Amino acid sequence: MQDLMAILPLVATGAGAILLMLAAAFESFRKEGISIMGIGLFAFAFFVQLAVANSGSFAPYSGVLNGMLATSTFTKVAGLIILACGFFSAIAAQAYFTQNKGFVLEFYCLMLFAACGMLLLTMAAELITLFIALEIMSLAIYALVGYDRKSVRRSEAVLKYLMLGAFAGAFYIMGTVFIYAGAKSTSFRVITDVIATTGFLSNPPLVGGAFLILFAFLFKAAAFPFHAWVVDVYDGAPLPVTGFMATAVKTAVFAVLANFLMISSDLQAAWVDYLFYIAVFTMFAGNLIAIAQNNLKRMLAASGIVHSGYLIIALVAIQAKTFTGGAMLFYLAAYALATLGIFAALSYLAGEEERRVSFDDFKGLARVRPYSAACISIFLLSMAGIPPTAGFMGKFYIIASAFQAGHVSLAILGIVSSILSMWYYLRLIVLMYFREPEDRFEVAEMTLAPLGTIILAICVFAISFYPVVL
Amino acid sequence: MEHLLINPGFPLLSTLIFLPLAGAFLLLPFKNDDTCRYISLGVTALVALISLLLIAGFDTTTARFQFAETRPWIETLNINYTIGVDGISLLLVVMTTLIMPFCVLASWSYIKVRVKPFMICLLVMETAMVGVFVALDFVLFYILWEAMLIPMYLLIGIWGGPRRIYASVKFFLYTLGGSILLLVAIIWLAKTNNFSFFIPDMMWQDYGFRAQILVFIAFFLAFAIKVPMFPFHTWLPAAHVEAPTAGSVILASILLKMGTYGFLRFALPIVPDATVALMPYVLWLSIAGIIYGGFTALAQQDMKKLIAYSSVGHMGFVTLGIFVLNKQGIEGAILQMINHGITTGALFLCVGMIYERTHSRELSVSAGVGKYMPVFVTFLAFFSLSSLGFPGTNSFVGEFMILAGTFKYDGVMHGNFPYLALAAIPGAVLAAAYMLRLLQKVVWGGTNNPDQSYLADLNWREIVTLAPFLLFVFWIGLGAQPFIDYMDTSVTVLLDNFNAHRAQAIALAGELLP
Repeated sequence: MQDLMAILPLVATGAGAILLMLAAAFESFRKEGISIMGIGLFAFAFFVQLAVANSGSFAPYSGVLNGMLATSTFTKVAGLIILACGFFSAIAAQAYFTQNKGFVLEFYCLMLFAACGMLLLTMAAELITLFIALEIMSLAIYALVGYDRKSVRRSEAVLKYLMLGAFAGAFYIMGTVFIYAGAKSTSFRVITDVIATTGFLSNPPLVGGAFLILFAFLFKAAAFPFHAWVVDVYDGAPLPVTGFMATAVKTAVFAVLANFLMISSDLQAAWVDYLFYIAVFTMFAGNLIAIAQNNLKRMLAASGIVHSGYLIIALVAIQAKTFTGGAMLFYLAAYALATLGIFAALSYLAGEEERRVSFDDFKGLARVRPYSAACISIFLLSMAGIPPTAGFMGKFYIIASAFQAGHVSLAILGIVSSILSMWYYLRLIVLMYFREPEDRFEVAEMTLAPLGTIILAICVFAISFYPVVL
Repeated sequence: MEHLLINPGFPLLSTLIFLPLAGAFLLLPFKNDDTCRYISLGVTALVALISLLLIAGFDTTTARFQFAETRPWIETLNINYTIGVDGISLLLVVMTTLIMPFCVLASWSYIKVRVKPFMICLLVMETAMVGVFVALDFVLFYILWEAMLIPMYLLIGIWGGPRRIYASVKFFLYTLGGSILLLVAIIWLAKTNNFSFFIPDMMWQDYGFRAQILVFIAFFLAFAIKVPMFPFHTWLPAAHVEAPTAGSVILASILLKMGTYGFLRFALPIVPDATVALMPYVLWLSIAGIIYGGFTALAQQDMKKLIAYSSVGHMGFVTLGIFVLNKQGIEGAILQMINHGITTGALFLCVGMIYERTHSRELSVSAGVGKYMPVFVTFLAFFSLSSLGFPGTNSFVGEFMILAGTFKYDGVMHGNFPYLALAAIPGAVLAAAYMLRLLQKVVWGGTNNPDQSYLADLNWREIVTLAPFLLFVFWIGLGAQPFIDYMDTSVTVLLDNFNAHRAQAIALAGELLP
C-alpha cells in the first residue's frame, strides 16, 4: 500500500494528462474549460504529492520493479516544487492565451506529460528508467516550445533545442553503456556496491560513463560550457513555457544530478574539483551574457544560467553521508518562486503577441500598475539575493554549506557573482520606478494571473521567514 | 543566558521593530494623500513615545543586553530571533525613533507626488533601522542591514533630484558591494563557534591572529563604506545631494551611524588583536577624512554638498574616538554620533526648507535670505554653530571628549608628543571656516543678492519640526552627563574585557602580537 502511495503522484499526473487529451476531443470543452481543468489537475497532483510527502524513504515495488524507483524526502520535496511550478505556469498560460494566438487544446496535456516525466526523473534509481523519464520530459518540452509551427522564432528555438538535446541524449546513452560495461548493471544500488569494492578511478569504463552522463545532465542544467543554447531557446518559447522550463526542468535535472552523484562518495569526490570550476564559469558566463541583454526574456534566460551556477555550488558542497539536499531544494524553491512570478506577471503584462519584452517597454510601470511593479521588484530582489527575500536565504544556505564543506573561495566567488547580477536586476527596477510611463499598459481583463503573481510574491517572503523545506 | 536580561513582560523592542511595518501595511488601502501623511505621523510618533519607555526602564548599572527577547527562528542552522539593547545601542535606537516623526513632518509639503509609497518607504526604513541597532543574532543583523538598502534606494531614486538614478544606483551598489565580505565573515565566525550566530558568543574568542586580520578587513570594508570613511566616501555626496530632505536626514542622522556602531559592536569585541594591529591605519584615515572633508566642504557651492562633506569630517572624528581605544574617546564617539545625528539632520532639514522656497540648493541663489526669514536664520545659526563645535552646544562636548581621548592615546603609544591630536585640530578650525561661510552667505550674502522678498518665513509646522532639534542641541551641550551615564557601564565593561583579552593574548603569543 505504501508502495502505491509513493507512485500515486506519478499516476495522478499521468492519468490527468490522458484525461485532458481525451477532453480535448470533445466539442464541449473549449479553451477556457481546458485551461481550468489543466490548472485544477496540477493543483490536485500537488496535493496528492503533499499527502505522500510524509512517507519514509524506500524503493517502491522493489520486488516487481527491481529497484527502478527510489523515494526519499529529497525526491518528494523536489516533486512538490515541480508540481507547484506546473500549477503556476498553467495559470500564467491561461493569461497568456487570452492575449496571444497559437493555443492548441493539447497544451496543458503536454505540460502534465512533462511534469510526469520530471517526477519520474526525480525518483529514478536506474539508468534506463532515468533515460525514459528524461525523454518523456524532453519530448513534451520540445513540443511545447515549437507547437506554433507558423512562428519562425518558435521553430528556430525548437530546432536548436532538439538538435542539441538529441546530442545530449546520445551522450547519455553512451555513458549508460560504459557504466553497464563497468558495473554489469544499470541499477544505482549495484553501481554503489561495485564502486565500493573496486573503487571508482580504478575502473575506467565507470569513469568514462560517469563523464558522459554528467555531460548530458550539465547540458540540461545549462551549465558552462553547455549553456549557449539557453538564451535562444528561452527567448523563442512562449512566455509560460519559458517559465516552466526555467523552473520545473531545472528542479528535475538538479534533483537527478544530485541523486546520480550520491551513488557513491568516490564518484562525487572525483568530480568535485571540476564542478568547482564549472560552477565558477557558469556563474560568471551567465552574468556576462545577462548584462549585455536588452530583452527581458533573454536576460532571464541568462540569469537562469547564473542560478545553475549557484546550484552547482550546492552540488560541490554536498556530502554523500549526510545528504538531505535541504540547501539545494530551498534554493530551487526560492528561485522557482521568483522566476515563475516574473513569468506570470509578464504573461499578462506583455500584451498581445508578446508586444512588451524589452527593458524599455516597462518604463514607468510603477506609475500605471503599482502592484504589478512591486511584485516584479520583489521577484527581482529575490533573484538577486537581497534580504529579507527567499533568494537571500537560499544563497545563505548554499554559502553556509560551501563553508561546511571547506570551499571558502567558492562561497566568496558566489557572493561576488551575486553583486554582479545586481546590475541587470536593478536596471529593470530603475526603469519601472524611476522613469515616466510612455505606455498605458492596457491588458485584457483577467483575474487568475495577477492573483497568482501576488500569491507568489507573498510566498517569497513566507518561505524566507519560515523555511519549511529544511 | 548570561548576556541577556530577558524581558518577561511586554515585548517592547519587537513593538518598536514591527509597529512601523504594520503602519506601512495599514497605509495600503488609503488613497487620500493627507490621510497617509497623518497615519504615518501618528505611527512614527507612537513609536517614538514607546521608545521613551526604554529610557525610563533602562538599568544603567549593568552592561548586559536589556529588554532582550529570544525566539527560535531557523532551528536547523541555529539562527534565532534575538534582540536587546545595551548602553551602546540604547541612545541610537531612541534617536532613530525620535527623528522619524520629524522626517514625516519635513516631507509634508516637500513630497507632492506618490505620497503613499513614500510614507511606506519611510516606515519600512524605520523597521530595518531599529532592527539593525537591536539585533543580537548576526544573520538577523545582516538581513536588516541589507534590507535597509531597498527603501533607501527607492527614496533617492523616485523622489530625488535630477541625477537621482546615478546617485541611487551608486549608493546601492557601493554599500552592497561593501557588505559582501561581511556575510562571508559572519558564516566563518559562526562555523568557528559551533554554528552559533549569537553575537555575544563570538566576542572575546581566540581566533588566531591571521584570521582576525581577515575578519577585520571584511568588517572594515562594510562599515567604513557605511560611515563613510575617506577614501570610501564618494557615494555620500551624490546620495545626499539627490535625496529628498527626509532621505538626507535619515542618511546623515541614522544610516551613517550604523558603520561606527558596527565598529564598536563587532570589530572591537570580536577581533580585538586585529583592531590593535590595524588601529594606526584607521586612525590616520580618520584624520585624512577630517581634513579632506573640511577642505572639500570649504569649496562647495551647493549647500547639501557642503553639509555632506562636513559629515565626512565629523564622522572622521567619531572613528578617531572609537579607535583611540580609551574611555573618553569611545564615550565621546558615541555622544558625537548622537550629536551629528541631531545637528546634521537639522541642517539638512533647513536646506530642505530653503529648497522648497527657492527650488535651488545653490548658495548664491539663497544669498541674503536672512532679511526676509528671520526665524529661519535663527535656527540655521544655532545649528551651524553646533556643527562647528561651538562651546555650549552639543558637538563641543563630543569633540572635546574625543580630542581628550586622542591626547591620552598619544601619551601612551608614541612617546609623549601628541601627533595625532595635533593633526586633528585643523579639522575643528576648518569646520568653523566652512560653516561660518555658509551662515554668512545665507544670512547676509553680499551686495548683489538676488531678490528674496517673495520668501515667506517658516510656518508652524516647520518650526515644530526644528524646535526639538534645537532643544537637544542645548540639552546635550549644557548637561551631557545624563546621556553619558546611559553608556558608561557598557563602555567600561567593553574596555575592561578588551584589556583583559589583550593581556591574555599577549601573555600567550608574546612578541608575535603587535
